[in-house]
Amino acid sequence: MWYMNEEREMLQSMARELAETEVRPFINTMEETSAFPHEIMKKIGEAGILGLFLPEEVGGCGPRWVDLGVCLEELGKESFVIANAVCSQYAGTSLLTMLGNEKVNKEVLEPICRGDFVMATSQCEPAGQTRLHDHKTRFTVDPETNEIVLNGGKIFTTNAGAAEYYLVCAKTPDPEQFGGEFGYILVHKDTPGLTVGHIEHKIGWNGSSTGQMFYNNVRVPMENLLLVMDMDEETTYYGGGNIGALMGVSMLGAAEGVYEKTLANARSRMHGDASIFDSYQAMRHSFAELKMEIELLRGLAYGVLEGLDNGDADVIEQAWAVKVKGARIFEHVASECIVLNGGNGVIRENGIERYLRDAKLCSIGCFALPHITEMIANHLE
Amino acid sequence: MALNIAVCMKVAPDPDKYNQISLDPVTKTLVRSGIDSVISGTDLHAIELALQLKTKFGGKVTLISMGPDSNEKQLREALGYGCDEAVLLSDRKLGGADALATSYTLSKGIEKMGGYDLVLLGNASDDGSTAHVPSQLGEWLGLPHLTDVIGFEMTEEGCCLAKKEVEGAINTYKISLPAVIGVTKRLNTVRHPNVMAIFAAKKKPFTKLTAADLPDLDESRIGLAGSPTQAVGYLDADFHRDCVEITGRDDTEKAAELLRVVLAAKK
Repeated sequence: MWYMNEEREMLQSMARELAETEVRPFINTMEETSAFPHEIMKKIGEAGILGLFLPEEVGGCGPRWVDLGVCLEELGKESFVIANAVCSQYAGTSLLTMLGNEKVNKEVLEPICRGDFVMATSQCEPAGQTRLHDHKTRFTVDPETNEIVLNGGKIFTTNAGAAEYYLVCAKTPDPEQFGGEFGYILVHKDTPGLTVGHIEHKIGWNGSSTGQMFYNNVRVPMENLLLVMDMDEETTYYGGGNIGALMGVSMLGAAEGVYEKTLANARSRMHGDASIFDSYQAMRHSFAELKMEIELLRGLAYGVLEGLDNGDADVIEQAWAVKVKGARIFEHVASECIVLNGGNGVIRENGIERYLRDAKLCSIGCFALPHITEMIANHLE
Repeated sequence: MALNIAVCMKVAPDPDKYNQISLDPVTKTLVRSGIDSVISGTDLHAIELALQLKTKFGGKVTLISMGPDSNEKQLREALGYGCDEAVLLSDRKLGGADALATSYTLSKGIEKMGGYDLVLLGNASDDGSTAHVPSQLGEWLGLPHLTDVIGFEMTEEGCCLAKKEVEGAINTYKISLPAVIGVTKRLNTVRHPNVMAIFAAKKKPFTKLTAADLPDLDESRIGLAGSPTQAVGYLDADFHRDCVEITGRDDTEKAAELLRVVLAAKK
């Protein structure tokens, strides 16, 4: 591949080994119990993969987008959930790394880089992920103690109940005084008033903990108000593209994973003296069609990641397209692979159908596809 | 007590691709074209031990491999585990070496590099699997050596305690350094390479030595000419087995039938 070199082959080999030896044995547990993969995130941190998007000041060497993509693709082959758990850490830490706050670097980002714990971004409310002006969560300031007092609730918080820290988006009491309408407040999981609500039973992504969070009179020092800004659709469009690209390359890996498993089955399952792959032209053509879609996605995904490595600001639209096309191609490939596996494809224990369940959630998780399409439409010239 | 450690590392065909390897009927050698090469699995356990010792006692880990120039790729990969430098013994004259010629050449490479406190290597390679090299290397170097090692620790007085399984028992040997140790896969769990070490691998010292660089090299002991082991033929293994169905109304009847079949076969 045009983007590969000797170093990236080593990264690929390392991530593949990690996926096969650490992730694969944990998949059944995740599927059956939805257990959060803390141990695997620790191994991923020790291997330095989380450092690929974190800066040197906190123990990383990033951002190195193509290098990270190569690792996410390999992790995604075994489990989209695990690759996406890495993406979720990028989403949370990308705001914090901009701050250059030594305390946050030491207490939050360095441990995350090592894989010691994960964080969560707590933003979505019933009004909708990006209808921020209708959100209810807000904070006030106690005039006597100068503490932040946070009140409100969130839904669909990724890593709810699994995170050590929550970065909570809340309305400021006075946008003029604070310099913006929204503030991001860092809250440790053990802070009184923080409650983990219902953890959702989703169609897929078992092992990714998505749930409600409640903040009732949560008091934190003023220094935990890390960032204040005005936010609108432009903030989302320009700030969220990178995560779209990372999720997209994870979907590429997952699509390849289910494709490779299915192809191996078709090549080993015999009808008489020949494999079913060799016996039926229709089957070979189906594989060829899926392979073409996967390679289209690869070209798009790594083109965007290379653009990000080169500091190309014009790749935002394509970055979002990686998420949209990635979700659609992943879902199509996973769906077709169920058919190509025959009856075995619909049996849970065979590990094929979970790819389709995971793929379906990719249409929703971290911005629904229609919403992304709407944003892209709004930016058409 | 910093340790200067060498790990002898072999590059072998990927075990996952063994079903794609064939034998050349004329030369009696393996046809490896198109087969990926990897670090021989047991050598990874020697690397792991070396890195653990370096973490505990300080020092340096040097990789030494004999093979074609393409072995640089796997040596760089091994540097990605955290080893410090690599030495490749590469020369057409060294090609076709059996275990004896390989161990002789490795010993000369080790001499050239100035010797080490500890020489570690996999007990047997994934492909040839003769398990001859560790002992032969110890003899060439004139150092104590132990094979089949399943446990290893350093003592306060600078010796090592190495464990090996012998006929169901585990013997512990106290060995003075320098020494040559052949390790097994039971010794430890190999770590995953690290991103930072992978990026650093490209910049780590890499030395290529040819036959001319090796001190007092006896050319009659190297390469194909110096290899007393010659493949003169090969046979296809017959894995055919007969299948006998054991039937009976209950387990007792089935056990009796099984016994009858076994005794009949014995006759």
